This record gives sequence, C-alpha cells and structure tokens, in this order.
Amino acid sequence: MTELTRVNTDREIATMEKTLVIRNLHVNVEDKEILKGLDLELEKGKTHAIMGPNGSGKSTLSYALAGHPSYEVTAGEVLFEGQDILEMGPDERAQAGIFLAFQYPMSIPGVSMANFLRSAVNSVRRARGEGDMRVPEFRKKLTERMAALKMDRSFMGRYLNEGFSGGEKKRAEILQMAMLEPKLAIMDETDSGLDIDALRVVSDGVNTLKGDDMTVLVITHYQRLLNYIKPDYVHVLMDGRIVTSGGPELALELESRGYDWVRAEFAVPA
Amino acid sequence: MEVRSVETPTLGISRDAVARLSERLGEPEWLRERRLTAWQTFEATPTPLMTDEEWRRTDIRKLDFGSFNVPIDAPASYEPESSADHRNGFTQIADGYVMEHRLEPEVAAKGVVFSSLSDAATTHPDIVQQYLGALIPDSYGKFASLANALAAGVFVYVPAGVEVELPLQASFTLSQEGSAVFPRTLIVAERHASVTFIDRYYSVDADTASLSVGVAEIFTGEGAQVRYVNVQEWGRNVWNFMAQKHRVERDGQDRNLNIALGGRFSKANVEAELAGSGANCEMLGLFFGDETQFFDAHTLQDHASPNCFSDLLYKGVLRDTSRSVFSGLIRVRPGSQKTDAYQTNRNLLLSDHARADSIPNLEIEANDVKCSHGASVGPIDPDQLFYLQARGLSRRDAERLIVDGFFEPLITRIPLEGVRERLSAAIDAKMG
Ligand SMILES: Nc1ncnc2c1ncn2[C@@H]1O[C@H](COP(=O)(O)OP(=O)(O)O)[C@@H](O)[C@H]1O
Ligand SMILES: [Mg+2]
Repeated sequence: MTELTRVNTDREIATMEKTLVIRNLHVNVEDKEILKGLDLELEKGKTHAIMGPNGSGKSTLSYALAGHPSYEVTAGEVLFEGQDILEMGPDERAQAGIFLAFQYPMSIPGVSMANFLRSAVNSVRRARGEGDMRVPEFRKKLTERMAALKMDRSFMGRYLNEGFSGGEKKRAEILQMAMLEPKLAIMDETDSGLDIDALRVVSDGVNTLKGDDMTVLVITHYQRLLNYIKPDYVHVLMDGRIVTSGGPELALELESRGYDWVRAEFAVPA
Repeated sequence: MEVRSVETPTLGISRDAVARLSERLGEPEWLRERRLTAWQTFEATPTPLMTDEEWRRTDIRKLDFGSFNVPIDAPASYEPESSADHRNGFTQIADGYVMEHRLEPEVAAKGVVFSSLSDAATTHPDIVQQYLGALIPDSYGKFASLANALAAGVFVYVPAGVEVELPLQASFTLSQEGSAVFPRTLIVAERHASVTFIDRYYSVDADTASLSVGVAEIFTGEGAQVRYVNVQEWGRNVWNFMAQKHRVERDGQDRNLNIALGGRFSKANVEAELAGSGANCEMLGLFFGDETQFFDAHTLQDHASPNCFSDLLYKGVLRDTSRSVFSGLIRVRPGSQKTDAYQTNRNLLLSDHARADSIPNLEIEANDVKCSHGASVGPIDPDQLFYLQARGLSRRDAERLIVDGFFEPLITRIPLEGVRERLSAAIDAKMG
C-alpha cells in the first residue's frame, strides 16, 4: 500500500513539467570555484525559494543562469524547458523567457526608462517572430503595470536606474519583469532595500504576474519576503550546493534556528 | 547626390585660383588683396610637422596639396537638401558657390543680414572689413592662411537688440571628388542680439581624396546670446581642417556644439576668448569614429577677463581602428579673477584596436579662480552591457543604447529636429 503510493507520487513528479533542471553545476568566478555541483529542479508555475547565508553563491547562481560572461560554467548542465541554455548568450536566454531581477541593477546614464523598456519589449518580441509592439498598446500596458506597482509616471522620463533609491531600483526591476512577462523569473534579494510598504507593493506585483505559467525563483537570506511571496518549495544553498530542500516550513525553521544546524546536519564545511 | 569627376572648370591650389575665384565671386578689390596676401603667407608657411607639439599625434604626411582641384565655377547641378525644419533662413553652398538662399523677409526687415560673404563685402564693407579675419588672421597658421585665401561662405549680422527667433542654417557641400573646398562662416551678434546658427558640411563617400579647410569666426556682443552648431558629415575620403574661434564680450553667452562624424581625417581647432567681464561660453563636442577615421579636437578656453564662466564637454566614441586626440587648454590670463572654467573629455572605445588620447592643460595666471579638468578613456562597462542583454537586447543593440545615452546630453542641445534625426541615423549606421 505504502509502496503503491510512492510509485504514484514518483510518476506524478516525473511527468510534472520542469521549467528548469540544473544538474551538477560548477561555476568559477575569477578561477575560484563558487558553485560546486549544484542540483535543482524548478516545477512549472511553482514558486521556489533559495535561502542561504551571505557569500554562499546565490548571486553566482542567478548570474550564471542569466549568462553573465564572468561566471564560467566548468561542468554540469542547465535545461530550460528541456533545452540546454549554457551555449546561449544572455540576450537569447532573455528572449527565451528567463528574467533576472538583479540584486544590484546597473544604471545607464542618458537612456530613459521608456526608451529602454520599448527596446527590451521589442527585442524579445522580434526574437519570437512577432512585430514591434504598437506604441498605443505599449503605452497602455506600461501605464497599467506602473499603476499596479504604484510608480509615478515621471519614472518614464528618468534615466534607467540613474539616481534611483534602492527601493525605486527594485520596483523598476519588477516593472521590467511585468513588461517582459517571462516564463521564469529569478529574483535576487529583491527584498533588500525595501520598506514594508514597498515590499507589499512589489510582492503584489509578482503575485499578480505569477498566474499558472510563470515559475518563480526567489533568492533571499531573510524569511521576511516569503511572507508575501509564498514559496511552494524552499532550498538551502550552502557552500555552492543545494544541501537540503523542503516546504515553506523550512524557511521558518531557518529563520528561528539559523544556518548552523544545517551545516552540522548536512556536513557542510564551515 | 551624384559625385561627378569632371564638368566645372578647376585649377590646382594656386595663386591663380585665388585671383580667379575672387573675380568669379565679384568681390571688391580690398578683399581680393586680402586673399592674395593670405596666399603669400600660406606659401611662406611650412607644413606643420609631427615634431610640432600641436601635431605630435596628428599625421598629415599623406596630405598632398598638389592633388586637389579648386572649382572656379558653380557645379552644373546639385542635390538640394530636403528638410522639414523650421528655420528663419537657409543657404546651400556647393563647392563654394551659393545655389540656394532664403531669409524670411520679416527677419530681414529687422536689419538682420544673412548673405554670402562675397556679397556682404560689397553691401556691408565696413562690418566685414572689421570682423573678417579678426579672430583667425593669416598668422594663425598654414591652413588658416589657405582658408583666408580661398574660402567662400556666409555672413550673418544681427543688429543690437534683435532676436532671430528660429535658427539660420548653412549647408556646405562638396560635389566633385578630388576637389578642395573652403567653407567660411562669419557671425556678428551685436549688443543684446540673439541668434542660433547651424553649419553643416556634407558630401557622399568617394574614392578620390578631397580637402576641406574651413574657418568660422563668431562674435558675441555685450549681453548677446549666440548658439552655434557645426555638423561635419563629409564623405569618407575627405581631409577636414577647421579653425573656429569665438569671442564673447561682457555678459554675452556663446553656446557652441561641434559634431564630427565624417572624413578620413578631421582636425578642428575650437577656441573661445572670454573677452569681457561676465562672459559665458559653453563648448560641446561630439565625435564618432569608425574604420580608420582620425579625429583631432584642439580646444582653448581663453579667459581674458574676470568673472567669466566656461564649460567644455567633448565626448567621443571610437570603433574599429579609429583614433582620436583631444587636447584642451584652459588659459586664465593675469587679472582674470573669479574665473570659473571646466573641461571634460570622455571617450568610449568600442573595440580593442581603437584609441583615444586625451591631453588636458591648465595655464593659470590668476589666484582667485575655480578650474577643473577631467578625462576618461575606456570600454563600455561590461556589467552595463550584460544588464541590457539580460533584458533581451542583442549586444549590438545594447551598445547602441549605451552610446545613445552617452551622447544624449549633447544631442538634446541640437536645435533642429531634422539635424537630430539625421545624426541619429548616422550614429546607427556607424554602429554597424
Ligand atoms: N564578480 C565577482 N568577483 C569576485 N568574486 C566574486 C564575484 N561574485 C561572487 N564572488 C565571490 O563568490 C562568492 C559567492 O558570492 P555570491 O554569489 O555573491 O553570494 P551570495 O549572493 O550568496 O551572497 C563570494 O565569496 C564572493 O566573494
Ligand atoms: Mg547575492
């Protein structure tokens, strides 16, 4: 009886669509190995959280997934919707539907938010064989999405992230996500620098976007964000590997007990 | 525009060409004499060598004055410049000859003069004699004396207190490959006058080398406001030399912008003299090199009076194996207290083989001044590039957006939409 249930569950998991499958991923930064054989599977439409202490490799993972050239993959594979993406450039990955909300977004002087967003939206559309979005349609969508994120219209004339406060940058990242409608959204410490009101607005924005299709990978080292963006699964990243995974309760446990017990239990070198 | 290799009569760069040109343009005797004197200086002045400090990084060994022809008549036909821009006046000068000219009658009625220099020498001899060559005399150098001998161009005079509302524009074109042209602009804005002027140099790419040696002298009177924009879009095989000098009187304001995109070689000297207390000068420059292009910008902020302000910003982008040299001097003369002078040169390299040299200089002979200079040369920040690529932009589009942003503070200063749009298209073409 128990046996039978297990088989069913396994089959269910096996047939469940995986948005992302990472196997044995090794990543070097400046010739130093940071990710040391990381395995992770993300289920389509689910929200996964990665938690881990500072310096454990969370941002390294997100940059490697987005295709940053300084993050060198030395072994392993990354399948996005069944397709290996490691040979793809960062633009192709974005066009395929991967979006990274940066922990530290770059500012680009002289390039207005509006101009940038139009370029981004149309680049993705063109790659999919769709024509440029018509200007009225773009405006309408932008106005709606900005309103949802409680962003003032004046943002559009400002230069991309130039002189933005920490909170404004994070909101702008989520706005980009809302405009690009990715299949996989990776959010690297989106909660840092946000006060509680901003956190709520940003989380509402993400929750609205999630729907059935978008898979979300939330990276954080605080449990706080997970009160607003509720994860289906929580994974712990330490010393370049996922050392344990569980449900939302794992985040609460980490919050109350810290990481030392994980280190002890899963024999992670300190 | 068709590039034709024959048709109109030409002579080599020679004394004969100077005399024939002056005659063809119907100029008064005094101007003809000035030209011939300038020719003598040209002949007596040695070609600059790379051992001269100003020419240390600027190689003109392949320039052969003997290889160019001076058109001594108007071309048989020309391609009119089409533009929807709103302007108070426009002139098109092909190979040195006025092909098209208009000035709004209501602007002319205010006493504004906008005509060819040759005509102005007859209609307004006193003003032209007083100002022509006053800032750039023959002694300025080999190229300036050649221009003083052979240049033809436009004259703008704005009487005291008159405001010219919409820009005036001159387009200088070169229609025969292998020829030499000498664009010239003289602008005199009297006390409290105001005017915006745009010079555009344009030709199509050609196989045979051509030469352009231009001069511009811009006088901003007391409390006057002058905006001057020069857009250099010569074809790929043009040697471009340009001397441009601005003089700003008490409380006057001169804002100039020099854009250099074309030519195989381009050397522009842009100098401003802050001649009266409270004078103000903004000096902006933009250049974009690709393939084997070479750009040299040599600037001077000459503070000859107290309480003056000058602010210079030159920005360049270089691709392929293109090169640039920027050398800028802030000079504060004795007694020019309370000077505020700033100089910035920024260069973005889009290839490992492009190169930009930046040589700032200060020469300060007063003790109560605020001066600063800064320069940078470097590639696009790879993290900026990655950020844009991570939003789906191709590397090329990401670079284009960063370059646009880099130039944005300068491009917004161009007062004509048509000129802005053409520039944007030219930058797009240069991005490959
Ligand atoms: N660009 C980089 N250059 C040098 N070292 C880096 C770089 N990015 C990350 N590292 C190093 O990799 C390790 C993991 O960093 P990171 O992935 O940023 O961790 P986290 O996001 O979990 O705090 C750290 O030791 C950090 O110093
Ligand atoms: Mg991080």
